[in-house]
Amino acid sequence: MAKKSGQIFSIDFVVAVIVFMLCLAFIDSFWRNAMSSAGLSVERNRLAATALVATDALMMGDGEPADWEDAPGSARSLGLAKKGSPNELDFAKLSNFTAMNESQARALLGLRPQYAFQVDSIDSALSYESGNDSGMGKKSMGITRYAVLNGEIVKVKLYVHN
Amino acid sequence: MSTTKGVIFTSDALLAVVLLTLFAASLAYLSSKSSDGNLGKLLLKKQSSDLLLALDKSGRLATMDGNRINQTLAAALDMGTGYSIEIEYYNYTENGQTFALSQTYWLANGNSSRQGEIGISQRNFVVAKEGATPVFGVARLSLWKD
Repeated sequence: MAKKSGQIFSIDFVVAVIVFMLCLAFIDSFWRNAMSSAGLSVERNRLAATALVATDALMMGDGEPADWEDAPGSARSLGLAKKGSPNELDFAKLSNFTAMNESQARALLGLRPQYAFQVDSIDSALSYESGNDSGMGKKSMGITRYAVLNGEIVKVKLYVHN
Repeated sequence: MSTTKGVIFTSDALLAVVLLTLFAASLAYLSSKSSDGNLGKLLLKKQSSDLLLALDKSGRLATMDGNRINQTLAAALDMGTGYSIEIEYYNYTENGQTFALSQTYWLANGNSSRQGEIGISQRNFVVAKEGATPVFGVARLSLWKD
């Protein structure tokens, strides 16, 4: 009578299953880390692109209507530049923008994330701020641009965060 | 007695290769989506363009003072951002109707043997002073992350 050994309970099979489970656990951990890291990078890239578009709109354009600072409630889009002079900020527009309600400013800028906006002179003597800088962390992105205000070079910083 | 080779192990190997290829392709796709190379370079280019415009409109370029321009750039840029700027000033001679190079500056700060993203911009400008012949200028600014 021939003896037949079953395979299921053989030592080889058990060892193979253990090794396979270890490999699976390693791959799962590696995959989760890669997905998490990639997801964070994609989110940061999206925020950076959003910040870039928003600062372009603020610094290059004078808004709609061009004299929206006289009646901020009538603004249909925001721009801080003097008419016909991109990157040269109008003080009245800047003042009205920083005094504006945050949700109204976000709607006019087309921003879904929250934002914090800051204009500093390069010698840090003057500063204008608006928005909400609480909650900034890993999922936030800030960019710095440069403009002229009253004949002086200023840094224009915009941070966007979820 | 003929031996026939089974196909089971070949199918297993084929399945393993397909799964591995799918895994590697997914990882490569995610890595490319998360890459921020283009945005970094775009931001440097915009900052370079912004700064040249600001230097022009604030009158810094019109001072024709290399030290003052260098100090302004060093104060404006964040730590970790290197720069080099080349500025050429040309006098316009009406007789010969030519531009003659009168002054040139090359100013830099940071790791000049940089590798990686660089943002470069150029701006033409005019220095117009009352009673004086206008001076034409060309400024080229390069920015990079140290």
